[in-house]
Amino acid sequence: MNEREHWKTRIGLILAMAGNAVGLGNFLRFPVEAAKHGGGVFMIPYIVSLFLIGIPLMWLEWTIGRYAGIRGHGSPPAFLSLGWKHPIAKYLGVIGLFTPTVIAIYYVYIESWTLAYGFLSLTNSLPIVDHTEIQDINAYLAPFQTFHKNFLGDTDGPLMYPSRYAYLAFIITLCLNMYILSRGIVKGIERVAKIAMPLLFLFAIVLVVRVFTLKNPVNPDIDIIKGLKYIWEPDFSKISDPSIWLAAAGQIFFTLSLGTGAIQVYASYLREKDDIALSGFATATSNELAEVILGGSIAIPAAIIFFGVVNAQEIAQSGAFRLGFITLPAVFQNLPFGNIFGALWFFLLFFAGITSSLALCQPAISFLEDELKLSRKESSLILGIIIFFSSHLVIFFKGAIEEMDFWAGTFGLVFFATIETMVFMWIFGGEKVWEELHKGADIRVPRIFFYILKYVSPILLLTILVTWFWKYFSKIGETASWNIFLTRGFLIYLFVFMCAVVGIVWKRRKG
Amino acid sequence: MEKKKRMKPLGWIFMIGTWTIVIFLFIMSIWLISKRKVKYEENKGKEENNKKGN
Repeated sequence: MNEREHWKTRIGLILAMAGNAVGLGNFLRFPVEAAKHGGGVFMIPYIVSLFLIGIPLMWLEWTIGRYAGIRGHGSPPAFLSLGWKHPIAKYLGVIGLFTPTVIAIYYVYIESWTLAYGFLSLTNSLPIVDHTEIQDINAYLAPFQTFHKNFLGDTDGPLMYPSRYAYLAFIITLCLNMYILSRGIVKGIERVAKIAMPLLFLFAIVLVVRVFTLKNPVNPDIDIIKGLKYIWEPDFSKISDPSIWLAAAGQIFFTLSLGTGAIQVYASYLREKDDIALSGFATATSNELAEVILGGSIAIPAAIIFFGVVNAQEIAQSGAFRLGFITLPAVFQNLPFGNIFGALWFFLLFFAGITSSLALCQPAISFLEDELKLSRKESSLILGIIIFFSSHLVIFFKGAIEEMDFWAGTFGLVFFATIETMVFMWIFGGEKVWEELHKGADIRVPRIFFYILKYVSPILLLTILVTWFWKYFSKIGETASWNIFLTRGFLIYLFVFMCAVVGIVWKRRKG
Repeated sequence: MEKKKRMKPLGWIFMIGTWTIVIFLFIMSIWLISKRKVKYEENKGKEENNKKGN
């Protein structure tokens, strides 16, 4: 059996795990979700979901990872095979390999936009519009919208022809990811997390301070209080709406990166007696700090201060990309030293993105290393080539990102988390999981979390899954164009290919 | 033009309450880690000693 690497320091491990969790969604998705779903009242189901789904599942995934890691395995098919001695288990585990790899395919491309925009902002290459013209929001944002469209090569047809900046940034970002991954856990991922995460928090704090001192250029009466009021003032009429509870549970799921397989894979590089209970808890709290306090205090409040509540509502409804890549540059570029603040915003997103994309790539790397016995460098090169070619689907075909995000980034995560919770809490044995969690633990986890993990979390996960199924699956065939079908074909091909490789590897091992 | 409208007390309660919970949980976990750091280092040392012994 090959000697597996181990994390060098606990702080490095927690920062890498927090880096996995803190992603673009913390700064773009959370404030939009909170504002859309009743403001402050959204935090009631959010906190409830954190304790009923987020933290318990975080502990479960850390436990699964360490349990498999000390047995020489660090990939999702192996995790499920260890938990359930049934031939189908390894194929269910393929979902945990497929999901993060597909997310990485589009995530690296989006991450590359943040890198490019960071440099474009720093060099004053983004549009500048006179801020006294903020009467008509659409006219005001038009130059930024056009710039973003040209950057991505967005046309009226189904194809996109990216600018050379976008393509170059993608190549640089992909190479950077693969280089870091090829360096290994300690010299690559841990070292990057130790640099990127403190910088991310520093940049976020600077931006929060700047947003808190912002005033509307036309009406100085509109300040940060208006922005905070929009996010936090509770609308109690919405508390009985099940969609708020579902949105909050979904947000907790995405923000902690549950169900991607990445947490388990990172935890598989722990030693047998290394604590996971306290480290898992610290990871969750670090992510919440970044999301609730920092993430909730930048994008939406800044948009409200500059454009007013009505316009900001429209911006929030039109999605996270418009908020991050069109609205925020429009705010920052018109402030004194705006290019610096704009660059800080995009580099903050880049650091959040790269620490997450490294984690998303790691399940495939671990699979190639542990199950196919390839070297770290060979594994990184193979994955890099797969991502490079597959990403062209999202670079050139309109709608491919959204399609992949639905199947992998939305449905796949919850589906895999439901399977692993069922397998480990019901087949492998809840008591064994509980015992495993407390090996070397620095804290005693309250027993109530055992019952939550065994009964409450699976029911909630199934509820989310069924509701999404009900809501989205009927719409699948409605608006699909040929490029969407092409994307679906690619996803099916990738999944079947992964199943075939896993099948062959397990067959050889048996033989 | 939008008028200046202050946040209601309930808004402040929700915001400060949530921030307090999040900051409290974060500080508690960091404080616990700093207290138990020695034990974590011990595990690493023990494992390395075992390897040398073997």
